[in-house]
Amino acid sequence: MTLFPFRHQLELSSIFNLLLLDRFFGHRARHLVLKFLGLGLILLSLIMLTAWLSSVWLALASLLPYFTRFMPLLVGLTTIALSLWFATYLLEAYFRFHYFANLEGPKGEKQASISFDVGRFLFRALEPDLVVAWLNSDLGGDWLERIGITWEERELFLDARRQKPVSTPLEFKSLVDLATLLGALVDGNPDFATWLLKFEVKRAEATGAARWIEWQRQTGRDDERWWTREKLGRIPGLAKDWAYGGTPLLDEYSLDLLLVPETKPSSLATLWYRAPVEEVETILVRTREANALVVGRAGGALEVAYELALLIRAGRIFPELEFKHPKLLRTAILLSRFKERQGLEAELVKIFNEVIKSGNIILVIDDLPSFITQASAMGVKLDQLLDPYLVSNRVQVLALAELAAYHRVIEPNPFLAERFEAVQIPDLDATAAVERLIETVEQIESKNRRRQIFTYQALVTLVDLGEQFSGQESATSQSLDFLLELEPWAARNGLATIDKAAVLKFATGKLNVPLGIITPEERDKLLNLEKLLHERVVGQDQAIVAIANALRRSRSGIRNLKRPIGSFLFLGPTGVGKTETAKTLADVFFGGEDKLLRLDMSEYHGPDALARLIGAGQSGEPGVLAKLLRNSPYGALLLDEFEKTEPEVLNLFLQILDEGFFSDMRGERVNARNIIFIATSNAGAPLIWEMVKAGQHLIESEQTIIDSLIKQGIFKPELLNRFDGVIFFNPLNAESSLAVGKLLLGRLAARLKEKGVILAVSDSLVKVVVTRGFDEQFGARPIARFIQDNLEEKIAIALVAGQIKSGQEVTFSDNLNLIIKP
Amino acid sequence: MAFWRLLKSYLGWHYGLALVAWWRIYRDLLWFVYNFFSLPIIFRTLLAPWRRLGESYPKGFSPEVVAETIVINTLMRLVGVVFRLGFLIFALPVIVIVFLLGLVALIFWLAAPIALPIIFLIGFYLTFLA
Repeated sequence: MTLFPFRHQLELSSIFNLLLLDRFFGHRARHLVLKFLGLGLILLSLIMLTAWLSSVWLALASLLPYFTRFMPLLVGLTTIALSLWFATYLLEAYFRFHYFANLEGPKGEKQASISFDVGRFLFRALEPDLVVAWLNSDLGGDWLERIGITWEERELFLDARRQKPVSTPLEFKSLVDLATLLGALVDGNPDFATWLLKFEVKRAEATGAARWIEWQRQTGRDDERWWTREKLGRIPGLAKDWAYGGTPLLDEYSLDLLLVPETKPSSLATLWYRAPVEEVETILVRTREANALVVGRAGGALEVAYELALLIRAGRIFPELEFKHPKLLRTAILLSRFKERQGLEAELVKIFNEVIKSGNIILVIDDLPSFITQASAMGVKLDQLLDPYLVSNRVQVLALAELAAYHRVIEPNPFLAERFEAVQIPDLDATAAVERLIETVEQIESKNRRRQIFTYQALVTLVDLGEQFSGQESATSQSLDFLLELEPWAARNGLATIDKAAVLKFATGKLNVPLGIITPEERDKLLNLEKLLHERVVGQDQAIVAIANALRRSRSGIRNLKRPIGSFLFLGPTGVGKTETAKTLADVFFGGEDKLLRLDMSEYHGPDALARLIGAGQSGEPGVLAKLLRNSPYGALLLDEFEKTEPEVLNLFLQILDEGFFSDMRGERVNARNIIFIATSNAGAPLIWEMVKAGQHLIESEQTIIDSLIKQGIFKPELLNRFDGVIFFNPLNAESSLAVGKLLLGRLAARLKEKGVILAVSDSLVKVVVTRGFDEQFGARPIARFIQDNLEEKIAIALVAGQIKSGQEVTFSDNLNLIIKP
Repeated sequence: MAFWRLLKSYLGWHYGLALVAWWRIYRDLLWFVYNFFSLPIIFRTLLAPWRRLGESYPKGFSPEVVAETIVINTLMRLVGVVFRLGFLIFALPVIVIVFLLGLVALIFWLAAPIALPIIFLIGFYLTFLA
């Protein structure tokens, strides 16, 4: 065992000299010395200035003798301070040069050599057991804080670990940065990994938090480099616009992206959007039809515009775009100022003429599809109005669109599809999304002086919540909104560490959706869901198991957050409990039958069916489905008689079931990710009947029924595939109809009991009711009607006539005569 | 041992790669002042009308209007030239100063490993021995 692990390899690496310097005269010490000497120099120069003044200014002449006496001392001290300051500065320059050279690698690409922070850790690690060394290091301390593990827990682990120290076999070459170091430590030490799991820290969180603290240190060091081209380029120049025309009219409606604070470099986003920004650049420098359309998830497209502005400011852009101002047209203001077609058209033409005349504008139009739809609601055909401008070589337009709206509005329009070249941007993946949040967290924490600390897991949870609950906004901006509200919330609640539990608690309160730790009461419900459902639904085991499993998956957090909680298609004849199952579900799980949202899809028929569901652009009337889901984003939605609606509506559900959201006519996103969709249909019922009659088991003939539905063109196979489960409801047989009869009579008895009347339900009564009321074709419904018509009515008459008194018991004879027991 | 290794590496850098870095920073700073004062665009549009102001020529034949337009457009160009020349008088000295400062910094850099100990010793002498 060597005392210094990897010492030999470190000596060969390019950063060894930096580590030596760090040992002799560390970064922090250098900064202290520079600050101290700097202050001293300022003080000394002030004194010398006074000395000089006293020789020329009579009022101070009396001081002159003192100064003359001490002059050699003053000069001596100044030269000492000056030489020391410069010497330290040279060392700092030496450090920075090598640090960033190592970081950037040859030709600006990140090379796979060991990072300074890993080297520094290994260089200082005095133990062969790297896990112990890590937990004892200053970096390790910061890391523990980020994953929310306390000092006491650390001590407990270290005590246990020191009993049997382990020399970790690690591959030196793979230790590129702190994240890979942590990954290797977790992989190589099962006990360490298990200990971390106790705090819900998986490998991804361990490495993510390590990347965070390294990134923090890197940006800190990077901020000291004011002389790089990127930083200098961000200082706006003078006299840039003297050769270009002004745009007073456009300025009323727009925002100059070069001047907004969002145009700040954020290394993470820049990396993510580099490819699409370059593509946009190439399109915009074309000699004609220089119009780019950035298509992506909401918010993402705007980032590309900001990144472009950033490049322009840094001067790292094609010369053709160098002095351009990307101006974001605020279409909402424009639309709100005009009520009439002519006014809007004239204003738009004026704006575009101004853009041509000024010569240095890139017109950025956010959410082009909804601008088009809203303008067309006023009768303005934007595509035809703007076409001459879009073709010309004197206008550059950068339009942004959300993916779904792009497919709906732009793609089918030949004019627009021709004039704009689309650039797709990738969705942020989970790690990148967390890294976006980190930037904001850094700002929040430095603003509140680290009174509240966010853990890495809290950010992962925020990203998940954003994914799950984002409506109109992108998932990232939804997470950011949560993040910004979290901090004051935590301050009010006196929380110092904002961890996953805190985030979930905050979100539960805000969204009124059960998240976080499962309460005992809820756990009971979840585990006994089948039993609870069976209390109201007879038979249909397959359906009930499927639904119960979906709910448990959702609540345990292992479901796919980018889709609805669950989606089921209930197939079967009428009156067998399809609707009843949905109602029971709403009652048991969402706390009341009224939580069941319901749409009778047979009403959505005809050419305006889709418009009635998602809203119509012309009338501005919001759609039924959009309104329903906006008002209650968490619950169950029953789609009755699903097959009876239009094919285009079914296509809409194709998207909803797949992605968990849709865009309404205004292009605003409606979230459906916290909904259980239950579509019912009695298509295929005759076939089900036949099979059951022929004595076949339904489970075995499912495929035959589905095939026949597809063949008849009732459902498309892709739609059926989107459902989490296509569930068959058995027709009622003699046995189950008895159970249904008993259930329905029991319910009547319960209702009567509230009125103080006791109904005695005997087996013979059930039998009579079922034999006379049951109809094979219509299932349980006729039984309910029979009870209503024959039993309820007679009791009602007796109640009205005052024949039944409170507390009296009643029953029925075999030929259903009301018997009132004395 | 470590100290000598560090010193050797430092001096190698000081007279090697650091000079390359000096050149890069010098170049970027000059690029910055050059662009800060928008010189490329000022030179390219020295004679252009001030903020693209001006009038377009009429379509029909009307000598007075054409003459009027010529006068106005020339005036706008003159205004542009005056502003830009005035700006250059202010900007060029700054660029020259940055240019010279960079050279001074280079000379200082080259001399520093010898000059700094000497300055220190002089300071030491003045403070404690004189």
